[in-house]
Amino acid sequence: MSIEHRTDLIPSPPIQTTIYPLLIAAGFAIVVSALGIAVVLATVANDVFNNAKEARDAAAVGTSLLARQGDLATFPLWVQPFKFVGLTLLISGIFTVFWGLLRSLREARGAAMVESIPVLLKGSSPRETEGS
Amino acid sequence: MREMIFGGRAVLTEAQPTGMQKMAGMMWAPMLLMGLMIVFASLGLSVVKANFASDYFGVTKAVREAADAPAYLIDKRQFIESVNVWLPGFQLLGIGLILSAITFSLANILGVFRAGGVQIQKAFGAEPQTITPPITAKLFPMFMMMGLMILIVNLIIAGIIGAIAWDVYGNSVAEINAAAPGSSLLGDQGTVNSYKAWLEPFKFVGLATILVGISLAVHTILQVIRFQGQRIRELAAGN
Repeated sequence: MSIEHRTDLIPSPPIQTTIYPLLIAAGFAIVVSALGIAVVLATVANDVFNNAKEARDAAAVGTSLLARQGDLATFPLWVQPFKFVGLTLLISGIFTVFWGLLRSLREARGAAMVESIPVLLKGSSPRETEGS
Repeated sequence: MREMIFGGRAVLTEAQPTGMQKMAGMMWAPMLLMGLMIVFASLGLSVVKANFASDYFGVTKAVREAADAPAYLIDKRQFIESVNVWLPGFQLLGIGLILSAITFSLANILGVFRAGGVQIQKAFGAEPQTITPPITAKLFPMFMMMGLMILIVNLIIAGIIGAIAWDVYGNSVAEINAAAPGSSLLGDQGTVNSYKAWLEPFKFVGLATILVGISLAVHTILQVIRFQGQRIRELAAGN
C-alpha cells in the first residue's frame, strides 16, 4: 500500500544534495574522456607498430611516423594525472554527499528527535517509558 | 514519477530488511576479504617481478640484447613483460572488491534503518511506515555490479594480452627488434602495445562506476534520515 510522501515537517534538503551530482558527473566524464583519448592512442600505437623497429628508429624529423611516436610518448604524461583529477572529483562528490548526510542527521532527524521524543514519551505509558 | 525518484511510503507489517539488504549484510565480509587477498597477492607478485628485473638489469645491455642471450634472461623478461600487462588490472579488481564491500555495508545500514524504524513506530503504537526505495536505492547496486563487471572484463582481456606478450617476449630482444613488417611477431607487438594503451584507463572507468554507486548509496541513507525526521514529527503530532 502506497501513502503520500510528505516532507512538510522537515527543512528542505541540504545544498550538498544539489552539488554532489555535479561533482560526480564531472569526475565520471573526465575518466570516460581519458578512456576516449586512450582509444585514439591505441590506434596510433597500432599504426606505429606496423613498422619494423629499424624504420621506427630511423624516422626522420617531420615524418608522421616520428610525430605519432611523439604522441605515444607525450599523451600518457598528461592523461594519467587528468584521469586522477576525475577520480578526485568523484571522491569529492562522495565527501559532499556525506556532508549533506551529516547536516540531515543534525537538522532533519536530530532536531525532530529533540523536539518530538519528550512529547512522545509523555504520551506513552510509564511501563513503556521505563523500557521494561 | 515523483514517487519513483524520491520514494513514496508504504506500511510494513514486519521489521525486516529487504532481500538485497539481507544479502548485503552477508556479502560485505567475503568481498572485503577477497579484495584484501588480491591486493596482497599483487604485492607478492610485484616483489617477484622486482627481483626478476633486478637480475635482468644485473647484466650488460650487450648480453641482454644479444641474439644468443641466455635462456634465463629471456625467461625473466618474458615474466616481467607479461605480468606488466595484467597485474594493474588485477590490483584494481582488488580495490574494486573492497569498494564493493563498502557499498554492501551502506546497503546493510539501510536495512538496519528500515527494520529499526518499523520497531520504533510499533513501540509507540503507530502505523509502521517506511520509505519505498527512491531511484538512488535502485541504481546504486546496478552501478556497483556494472563497475565490478568492467574490472572483471578488463582482467580477462588483460590476461589474453598477457598471454600474447608471453609469446612475444619469449624471443630474444634481437629477434623482437628484427621483426619484419607483416610478420606475426611484429603484429603481436602492435597488439600488446595498442591494447595496453586503452586497458589502462578502462579499468579506472570500472572504479569510477563503483564510486558513483557509493555516492548514490550515501544519498539513499540521507533520504532515509530525512524520512525518519519527518515521521518522528508526525508521530509526535499524533499522525
